[in-house]
Parts: sequence; structure tokens; C-alpha cells
Amino acid sequence: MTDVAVQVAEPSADSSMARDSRKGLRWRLLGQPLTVICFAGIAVLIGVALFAPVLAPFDPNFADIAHRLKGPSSTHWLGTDVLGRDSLSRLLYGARTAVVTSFEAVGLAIIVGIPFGLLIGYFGGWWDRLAMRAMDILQSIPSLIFALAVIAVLGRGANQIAIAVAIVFAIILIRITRGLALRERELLYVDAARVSGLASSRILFREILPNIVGPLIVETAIMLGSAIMIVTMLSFLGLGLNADTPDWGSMLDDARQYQAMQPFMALPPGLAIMFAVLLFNFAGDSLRDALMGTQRSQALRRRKTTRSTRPLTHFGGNNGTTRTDAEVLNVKDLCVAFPYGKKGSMEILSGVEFSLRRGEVVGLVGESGSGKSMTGLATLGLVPTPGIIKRGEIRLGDQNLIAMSDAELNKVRGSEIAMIFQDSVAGLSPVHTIGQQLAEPLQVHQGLSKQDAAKRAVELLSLVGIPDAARRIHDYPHQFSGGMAQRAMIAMALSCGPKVLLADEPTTALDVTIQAQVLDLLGDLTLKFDMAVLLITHDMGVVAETCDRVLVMYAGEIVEEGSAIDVLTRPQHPYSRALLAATPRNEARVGHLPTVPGTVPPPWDWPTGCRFSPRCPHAREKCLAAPIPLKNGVRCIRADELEFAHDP
Amino acid sequence: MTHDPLLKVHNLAVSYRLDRGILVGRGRSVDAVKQVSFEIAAGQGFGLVGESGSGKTTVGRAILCLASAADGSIVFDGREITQFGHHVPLGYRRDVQVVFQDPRSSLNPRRTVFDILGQIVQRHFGSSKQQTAVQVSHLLDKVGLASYHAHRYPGELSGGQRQRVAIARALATKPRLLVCDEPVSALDVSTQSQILNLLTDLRRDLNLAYLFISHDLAVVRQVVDFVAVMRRGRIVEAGPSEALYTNPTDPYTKMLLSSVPDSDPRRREERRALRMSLRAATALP
Repeated sequence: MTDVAVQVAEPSADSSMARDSRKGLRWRLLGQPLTVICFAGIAVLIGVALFAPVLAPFDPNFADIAHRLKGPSSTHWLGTDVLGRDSLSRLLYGARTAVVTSFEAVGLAIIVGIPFGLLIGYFGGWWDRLAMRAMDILQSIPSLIFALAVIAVLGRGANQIAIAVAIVFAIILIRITRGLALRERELLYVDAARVSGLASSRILFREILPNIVGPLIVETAIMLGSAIMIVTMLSFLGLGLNADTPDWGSMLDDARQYQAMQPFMALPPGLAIMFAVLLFNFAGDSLRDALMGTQRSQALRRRKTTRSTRPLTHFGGNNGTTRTDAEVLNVKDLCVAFPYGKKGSMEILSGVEFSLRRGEVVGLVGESGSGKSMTGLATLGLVPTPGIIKRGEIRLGDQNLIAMSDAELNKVRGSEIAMIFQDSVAGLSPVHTIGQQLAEPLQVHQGLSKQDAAKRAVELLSLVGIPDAARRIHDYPHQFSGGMAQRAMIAMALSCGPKVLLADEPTTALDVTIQAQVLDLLGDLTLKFDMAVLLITHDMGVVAETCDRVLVMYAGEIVEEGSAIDVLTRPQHPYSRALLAATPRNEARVGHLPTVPGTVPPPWDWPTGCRFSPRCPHAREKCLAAPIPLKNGVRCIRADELEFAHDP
Repeated sequence: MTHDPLLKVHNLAVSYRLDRGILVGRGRSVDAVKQVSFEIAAGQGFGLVGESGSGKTTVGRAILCLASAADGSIVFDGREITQFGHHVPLGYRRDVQVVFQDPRSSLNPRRTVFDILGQIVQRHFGSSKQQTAVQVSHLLDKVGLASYHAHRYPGELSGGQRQRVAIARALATKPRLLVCDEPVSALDVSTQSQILNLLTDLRRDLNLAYLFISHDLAVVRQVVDFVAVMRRGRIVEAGPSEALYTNPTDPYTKMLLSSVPDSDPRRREERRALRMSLRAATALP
């Protein structure tokens, strides 16, 4: 705990994490050896292009006819060509041609393609349609033939090749930029910028462009590689450059003509082309990985679970509470910790205890950061890595979930214990119909036949109040409204008749009318299925409308528990009281609404004593001395002195 | 009302295109808003309530010139705004500002709070660098943020703090009308009341008029003087807010009111029965 206290100076949890992720980009790039090699290689290539006159041992056009078509020697390290010109010197000057032409081509493509793509993507309308149709036509012509046609019109030369390649690339960039701009245009920050009266050019280049620049950088890196390939291809075909400009394509063409006499000639330009193209492609790939890395690794992390490897048996026998038959889930002394700092760890759940009985809805209520969602995830054994369940016991009937292997847990999850989340549409697969998604677990978990599963799916869907279920079963999730999608999620959770349902903010994203409908439904189903429901919410109003019992959570601890009527009408903990007072109610205007000042501090800032004390108007010195035990359902040592009457 | 209202919406209709032709042509369209009329006086709070899909957000977007009116008129301070087309005068942009629902997507994640606020101050008042810095810290102070927040990115702030930044951005132009589109729906209950209090204070201090759009009648009640209830693109009931809340006449309004959670569990069963009967009475064919 001491090393945690030292680092309290950090301004806030959010900020240090965000900074880490930005630092992360550079770190991720430098952390991959292949990436470092690629960027070093590109630097060498550009260096060679710049300093070719210094590095080259000979004038690339100096013809030493006496030593034509020679292999490697001490004077000509890579041999000579048909006119006796030094291959190494031509290779180095060739790098210059390749780099200059491809950079010129991609540069031109960027200058034209990105602004034009932004413009048509952002403004849309007939400009956009006209431009897109024109580009469809241009793109239907193979790009090499298109480049040949441009060269036929403009004539031969390095600049002409660059222009031809630039046109092909610009079209690709326009398409990509337009697509990205179309997506950004729908976001609220762009609307906000328009309402602020910002000039369109500013919105395009200062607001939208920074948000889409990542994928564009990746694309241009790969384009540089392709540009080198197209330029060499054109000059290999003899269509590109003048004969006295050294370049890799014409070197390769020479080698082809005289390969019978000097087979070595093809090797240097061939390898040079291959490595140059590979360098840019790998660089593009690693940039892509680094830019998208955060999202991907987080998505993975969420699915992985980590539990303490040591099974905790010493809690098994002697728990003091009397367990009734109706009790289906019993959580004891649940502690979850995350690594923090160099070696330390911080507890984000401390000694959470609760039990759920059949046919009852229990509310778990608290602000963001109070640990209520983590409690739900930990109960399912789904603590996101690198977190671990440090201690505790989770009993479902006779089984201890903590001692189970992942395979055993998987059997329990979905069949005996189920969970629904806030964002129900995200939880549904967009490419399968609602019916398929409902029927699949029935076939897997319960071994129903395809027909029976489909029939049961219709029953479940009508059970959750979706009208015309037999027809709607063939719909895809995007055809469902938010409320209907949440109902479908509930149907899915219920499909295997679970004993316990964990509902994490199931109505927060819904309108109040739909919220009321879904909560009413949840209440009905609790009785109908005789299951236990843990309803996780931040809204005391939702608790009051649905729950039989309440657990109030603050900073990783349960601070008050009791029947809904007791806690909501006579809250004993100052936090419960503040939360209740701050809930907007349908009552006449009161001038100023009561608030809970401040926010839940990050875990490393939690005080040793009462964790709510920094925000509590009733805190005294004695509150800070030592951790407060949960006594008579309240975690407050002044509960007896403080008499709160609350009249909702 | 003796004076002309600040904003007068008359018979507004807004339609969205469902599809479009290959190159030209209009395609089919659907009316999102029909025959909507209301007035907002200077410094007054006006609430627009309805479920998602009722067209309330579309009305707000039409007033912000983010959606174009198919019919009817919107007059702000004596000027017809439905004819602005693509070039909305800067003066109008200054007078009418917006706070959106989700501050996560309404703030550009790639720009610091200082950039977000500073560019608007510069755009509208042509301030020097020094003046801009003063103005930005003044704005942050007004919404209850400290000046060190200026150098943060939106991702480094909490939900409530982000919404404060969004409000500061709206105030940067010194507007007269603020369109608040579900400004607290994405926030924790405890943060909601902080933001509602802030909006109430700002209205009093700056004589702002509000168009407050929300699905939650309880939230609207705390900030407005007049309320209109929308359903399927039309206003079904409107009136002074206390009258409408205490004595609603339309069954749909009653149904909306009965859906607002109440924090007294003792009244649960009777409220539930009322809700069920109202739901049946207002169900659409």
C-alpha cells in the first residue's frame, strides 16, 4: 500500500492511461525488431539515393568497353554491363531514380487525392456522385495500360512516369479518403464544428483529417513500395526513362538480353527491387499493427480470463451464515486485484459479499468506478487481464466457481448463470438472424434438434414480448430497435433456463418508456423462471421500480445492504443518501438539485479508512483511522449518530 | 407575450430521403417532422420531449441548420433561417449553439480542450493569442473546470468533465439560444444533477434561452418553463411545464410520465398497474 500512496500525485486515472496509450504507439513501433529493421532499411535507401554521387566508385555512364560483361571483381564489385559500365554505381544511382520517382508519384497522389477525397466525402451531393462514377470508369482500365496511355500522351521521362503512377494512386487515395470522411461526417464532433461556424476548410483539415490520418499513412507507405515496382516495370518494358538514366528496371532488361553471357547481371537489380518493395510493405504493415494495436489487444483481453491458480478451499466448510434452500448464489469475501506500479497491486474489489435467492431481484447500485460491473464480471469468472481474483468464494448451488477450470466454468456460464449487458446490439452478431442466434445455444447446450430449437426460439421471443415472433425470428439485429434488441438479448440469456441472471445496466441506453417496459418484463420473468437476478445500475429510480433488495457499492466495497424499502426510504450510509437525493425525480422545480460533489477516486487513491470520507459531509477524524467493517448492513461508524430521514 | 419571440417555429416539416437515384433524381422520402409549431422567448426554457424516433432531435437539427426544412418556417430574431441554404451566416452561428448527448463523440478526440475552445473564440472574435488564452480559461471557469484542464485531450476527462467542455464550447460564441439535445442522458445519475444545475445557473447568469430535448420528462422538468410532447413527428400536447406535469390531458403524456422511475418502492405496484393500462390505451395499431 505504501508505494501506491507515493504515486497519488498523478492527476487522474484517465489521464495517465491515455498518455500511456499515446506513448504506446511509439513504443509498439520500436518494440518490434522487424519494424526497426524496416525503418532503418528505408533510411539507408533514402541515404543511398541522396549520396549516390559520393558513394558510387564510378560515373554510372562511364563505359569501359574493354571490361564489358564482367563478373564481380576488386575494381567492379558487382561486375559490369554490356557497355562496361560499373554495375554497383548504376545500382546506387538507380536507387536515386527509384526513390525520387516513387516519392514524387506518391507525393503528387497525396496532394491531389486526399483533399479531393475529403471534399467529395464531406460535401457529398452530385459532385460526389459525378466524381465517383468518373473514377469507376478510370478504375475499370488496368492500371498498367492506363499508365502506358498517359506516357503515350506525355512522352517518356522520369516526371512523366511519376505523373502516370500518381494518377493511378490518386484515384485509390480519393476512394479511401472519401470513405473515411463519409464515416467521420456522421459523427457529432463534425456537427458541433459546423454549428460553431468554423470554415469548411478548417473542419476538413483540422477536425476530420487528424482523425483519419492513421489509415492514410499506412496506405501511402504501401504505395511507395508499389510505386517502385511500377516504375521499374515500366522501364523494364523500355517505356520509361531515357537510356542514359540509370535505373533498376532497364538494368534488369539488359541483364535479360545478355543473361547467356553474364548471368550474374540480373542479381543486383533484382534483389534491390525486391528488398525495396518489401521494406515499404513491411513498414506499412507494422504501422497498421501499431495504430490498430490498442483496439485489438483490448478486445482480446476482455475475453481472456485470469483466476488465481491456487484453489481456495479454506473457506469451504465454516461459513457462519445459514444457507436457505432458496439461496442459489453466494459470494463471500470476493477480492479482485490489478497489478500496479513495478511490483505492487491494487485491490479494486475488497471483500464483496452477497447472496441471491430464487425469485428475487437484487439491485447493485453505485456510480461509475464503484466496482459494480467488475463484481458482475468476477462472479462469472470474467475478470479482464491482468486482473486476478485474489480471494473469495463464489458458490452456485454446491459448486465453487472459483475452484473451477475454464472448461467447467464455460459449461456453467450460459446454462446456469447468464449475463446481459447495456449495449445489446453490440452483443448480437450482425450477420446471423435473431432466430439463428437464439436456436444455436439450445442445440449446443440442450441438444435440441434443429426444428425443436427453432420452435423454442419463437416461444422465447414471444415470451419477452416481441409481437409477431414467428416472422421476426428471420430478422437481423439491425432491423430491431434498441428496446427490441435488449428483449432479444434477454430471450437469449433465458434460453437455457438459468438459475442466476446478471443484468449490467440493461436499460441505461434506452428511453424511459422502453426502460419501464424492459424492467416490467424483467420483474415478470424473474417470477416465471424462478431465477435470481442481480441488476447492476447507477439509477436509484430503477432500483426502486424493480428490486426487492439493494446493495449499495462505493469504491470496491458494499457500503450498505438491505431491503429496497428500507434502503430507499431510510438510507443509513451517507453515500446511499447522497445518491438517492441526486436522482432526478418527477417533481416540481427545486432550483438547485442536490448533488454528490466530486467523483469516485481511482483505486490507488482510496483512503485507508472510510473510502467515502473525502466526499462525505459527515466525515470525522475517527472515520479515517482504519477500514470500516460492515455492521448491521452499513459500513459507517457514525450510522447510529446520523439519523437520515428520506421522503421520496 | 408582448415582445416578439426569439425563436418562432411555424408548421415545420422535415423529410429524409430513403434512397436516391443512380446519378440524379430524388427517390422516396419520409416525413420525420410534420406541422410542428412553437415559440421560445429570450431567456426562456423550452422542453421538447418524446421517445426515440419521435422527431424531436430532427427539430433541433433544423433549427441548427443541420437538416433542411421541407415546409414551414423558422424565424430567429426576425430572420427567416430556412432559406440560408449551405451558407449559414456567422452571426446566426454565434447566436445559436448546441450541446449534444454524447460528449465522447461530440468532442474531437485528436484536439486538446484548449484547441477546441480557442479556435471558436478566434473564429468569432478574432482574438489575439493572449486574449484567446484568457477567454478559454474564463470559459473553463464558467463551467466549473480548472485551467489545467485546457491541455487535456477529451479522452483524459471523465464523462461529466467532457460534457462541461461541450457546454463551454457552446458558450464560446456568447449565444442567445442553446439547443441541448439529451445533454445528460449519457451520464451517471449523480453527474446528471451536476450538469443540470450548471445549465440552470448559466441560464440565469447569461439570460440564455434553451431548447431542451430529452426522452426523460423528469430531467426536463428541472430546467424548462414550457414543454411540448412529440410523438411520430407531431406535437401531441404542449403547455406551461407545471400545468402539463401536474395535469396532463393527453394519454400519451400520461404514459410518458408514468414511465419515469420513482424512488419510492412502496408505490411500485400501483404505478405499474397504471403504466400497463396507459400502455394499452396509447398503443399504436
